[in-house]
Amino acid sequence: MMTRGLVIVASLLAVTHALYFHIAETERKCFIEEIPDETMVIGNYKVQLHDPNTNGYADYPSIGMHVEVKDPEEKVILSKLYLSEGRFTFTSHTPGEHTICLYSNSSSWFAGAQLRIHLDIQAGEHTQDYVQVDQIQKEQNYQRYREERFRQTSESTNQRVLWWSIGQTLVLVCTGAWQMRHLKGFFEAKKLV
Amino acid sequence: MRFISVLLLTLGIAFAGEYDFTIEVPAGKFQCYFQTVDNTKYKTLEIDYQVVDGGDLNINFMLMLGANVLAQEAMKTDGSHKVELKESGDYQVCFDNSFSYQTRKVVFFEMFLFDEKGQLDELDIARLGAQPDGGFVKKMEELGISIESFHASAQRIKNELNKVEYHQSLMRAHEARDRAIMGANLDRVTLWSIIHTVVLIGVALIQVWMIRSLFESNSKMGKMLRN
Repeated sequence: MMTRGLVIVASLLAVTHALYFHIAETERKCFIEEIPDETMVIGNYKVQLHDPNTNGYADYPSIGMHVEVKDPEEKVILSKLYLSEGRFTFTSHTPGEHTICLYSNSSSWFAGAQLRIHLDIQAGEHTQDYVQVDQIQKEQNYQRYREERFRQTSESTNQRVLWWSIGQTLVLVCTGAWQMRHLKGFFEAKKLV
Repeated sequence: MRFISVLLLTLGIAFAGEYDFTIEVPAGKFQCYFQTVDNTKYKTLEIDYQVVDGGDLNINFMLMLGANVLAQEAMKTDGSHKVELKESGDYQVCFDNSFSYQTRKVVFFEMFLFDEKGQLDELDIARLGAQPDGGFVKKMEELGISIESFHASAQRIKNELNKVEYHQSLMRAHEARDRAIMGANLDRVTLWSIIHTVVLIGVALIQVWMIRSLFESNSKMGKMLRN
């Protein structure tokens, strides 16, 4: 019982000290997390609704939070409706930029309602030193992979510029030659030459 | 269950010092992010931001507490601000992209909260150690290691690892920005090459057609060119 209390206190502690921002009811707010593969991402959130009577924000347990996570290939890997407060987790299977989008499911609230969302996103576990070192190592490998991809894209851009220039010069020369040949035939047909 | 509770408790403590997010600010929009800060626990706030993608890679930045503006920058690509926390409250970090009509900006920002010792998070080894086995401290003393020096070493290691992570996120943001610039360059090169080729061929055809009509007696274009 005591340990369960500790769990609840710990997760509340994490969220109430987190960053918060405001969104309109139907607005989507997206965050980008660039992570290596096989990394677990944990997001803690809490939603509060603006109460015009007190001009503050209060908890409304019946608000739902829709969380949608897309992987670097724009494929949806998590799309779930959560409670007004809680946590969501996902593990990346491909390295790259994952998009985490949040929006509320409420359409029954009065128009123009403002929501306050407390959010904290942690990529990779931060609990013990060994896990942190492991995470750093993973990040370094991912960095090496990204630099290689970057170099490949650079080379392909350079190649593309070279080939397009050569191609365009060829097209220029060919159209010039075609023009001269066509007009010569035209003038000869018209008996002007 | 006990292990999970200890894990989550340290998770709660580890969350307290550092936040980083990569956000998208649409064209013409003004976005703010708030952080509740307790002045008794934290003494310094540091905020670093960098524009990773979008147009000229610049954005307006503001750090405010209530109505006071603590820091402000206009049209910068990156910035770093460290402020003394004189009072508790909700500090807000705002990114203003209203000067741009078409391009959305992707901004990476990190917020650090330092206590009076200048450290990010306090690693409470004694509490961790005391949980599973009460004789932990006694065993360590038998080995000739005092709990204070162990604590100091662990704290130093944690600080260095935090520094490594900080540099890694900075490098990651730089790389993302460079990759975005290069992607935009590649798209631009491809687009303009195609346009140039199409214009080239089009102009060649128009030239031939106009010269032909110059010599055709019954064409409108020929009559127009001859006069």
